[in-house]
Amino acid sequence: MFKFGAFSGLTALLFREGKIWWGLRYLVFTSLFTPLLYFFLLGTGMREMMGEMLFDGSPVDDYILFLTPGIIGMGIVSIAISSGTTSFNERQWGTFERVLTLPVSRSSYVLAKILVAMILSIGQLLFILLLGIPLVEGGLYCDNIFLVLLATLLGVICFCSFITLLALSIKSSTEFYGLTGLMLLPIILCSPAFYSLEAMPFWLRAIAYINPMTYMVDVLRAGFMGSWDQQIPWGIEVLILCVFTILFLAISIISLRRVRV
Amino acid sequence: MLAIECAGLTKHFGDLTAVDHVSFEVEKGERFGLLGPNGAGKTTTIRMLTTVIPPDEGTAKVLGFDVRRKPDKVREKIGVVLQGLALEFFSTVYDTLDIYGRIYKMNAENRKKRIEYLLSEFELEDKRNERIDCLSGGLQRRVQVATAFMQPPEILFLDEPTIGLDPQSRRKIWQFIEEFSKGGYTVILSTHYMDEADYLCSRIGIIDYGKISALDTPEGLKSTLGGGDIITFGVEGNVDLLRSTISKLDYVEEIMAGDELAARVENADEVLFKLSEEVVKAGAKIKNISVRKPSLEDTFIKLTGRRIE
Ligand SMILES: Nc1ncnc2c1ncn2[C@@H]1O[C@H](COP(=O)(O)OP(=O)(O)O)[C@@H](O)[C@H]1O
Ligand SMILES: [Mg+2]
Repeated sequence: MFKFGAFSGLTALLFREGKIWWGLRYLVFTSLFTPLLYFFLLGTGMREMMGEMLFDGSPVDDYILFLTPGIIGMGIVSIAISSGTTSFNERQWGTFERVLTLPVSRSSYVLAKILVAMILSIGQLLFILLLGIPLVEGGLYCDNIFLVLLATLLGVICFCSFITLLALSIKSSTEFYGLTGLMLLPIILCSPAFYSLEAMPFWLRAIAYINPMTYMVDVLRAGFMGSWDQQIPWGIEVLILCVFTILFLAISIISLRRVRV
Repeated sequence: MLAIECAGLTKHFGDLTAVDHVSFEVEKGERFGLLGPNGAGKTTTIRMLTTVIPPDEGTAKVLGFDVRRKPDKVREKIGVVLQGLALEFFSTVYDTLDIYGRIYKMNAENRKKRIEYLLSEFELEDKRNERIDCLSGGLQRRVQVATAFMQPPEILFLDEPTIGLDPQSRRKIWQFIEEFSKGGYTVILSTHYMDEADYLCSRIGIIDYGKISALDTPEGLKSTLGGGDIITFGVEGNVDLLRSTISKLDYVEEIMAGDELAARVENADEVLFKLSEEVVKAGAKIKNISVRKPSLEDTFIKLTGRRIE
């Protein structure tokens, strides 16, 4: 059989990831369901009021349309946290050490985790697009689906790597769950997920600029609406997102090499 | 070719030397045991041999492959049962075995056959669709050992395989290791149970503070004591004083280390009465007397100066 050294055992590990996630299905369902609740409740609740909000220099037409990329971004962060949680569990279970004794490569292990998170994120994206049909007149439209996919995939890798980094460096489970729980809100709220950057006070905007979520949501929004939040072109924002992604991925791969079991 | 060949294997954790220039060789088909108390360095040694962590010094070859240079080759040939329960807790017993079959690239038909065989061998048939986190510790351990047998490995490593297990699970695992090794496969196991090492291993390395202090067959280790019988007295009185008194008797070969008053003699039948009289004469009150053959534990205490916990 043809064998890729660097990705040996990938299909078996993907099957294994599938089984682990299937065992976690209720938890995963909750973390996918929460963004949808925001979509419905926050979206419909704020729809009228948010018509006043300036976005890209003019008031937003439909807040639901504006909110969609934010919800997708929030979903991606939740999926990344769940994925990091499986890595953390595996260190505690000892299955991580077990994997190191098996004829599979470490890169396959990481890739399997990222691929499953990607599949879930794309599934969620499609689901939200379907949900948008009854919610928005004429259905949710998408200006440039490739841009949406690009932002989704980069975002998944970026946040999965970041959370994996935490999962590899933290030993105690209360610290891990505490920290990831604590981080979720600032990542989402210090970004243009729910409101435009123009509507933010200066200090919040400053934080938003160092938050990769900002760039992920902006590129998603550029993909959906054809317009985005900032003075910089979306191409530059894609680049910035790439830089965050490569940085986190590289650090997490290095720490995966060094991690103590 | 040797199954395991290690020379000067060393691992430091900060100031601590967890494994200190360990050297030993294991022939193919042997059942080799590392016997030592908690913290002796058993797990660290096994981790280096199974390519989980690299050694700081020394070399180790598994089936001729260097663990540092050819870890992939080593991993293809070994099966590992880690000390902790390393299991995909959220999946079912059947799926877990299936996962490991896939990792070892078995085809669907072989996987199915092998899983059925292992489920019946480990008496897990009625648990096949249970989630692992819902099983008792003993059953979980059996599943873990079964996963290591999905593809019969050329060398099987087991790190304290029966720690804290119920007698039934323990016997099942022992049986399976014995059966497995009859097929000519090599088994390396670590344990802190004397009876386990004595029963399962063809050769034992006694390890303490990261060093191997003796390496021989169980019989060889026991005979380093010189044979004979060990008489143990339960007494009321000054044990230290009694020790020095009876150690002067010419038929007492050796006073055993430990808390109890125990002496090794050539033949207990001949001297038991005489010796008891001496103990009483020395002013002690005897509560009980027992006679036994030297055990692995006696050798262990003699070599390391302590009892294994
Ligand atoms: N990852 C680690 N970091 C620091 N110290 C360790 C680590 N692993 C083991 N040790 C220490 O090394 C010594 C040997 O441990 P170990 O090999 O687990 O012994 P055993 O398996 O015989 O009980 C112990 O003192 C232990 O505390
Ligand atoms: Mg140990």
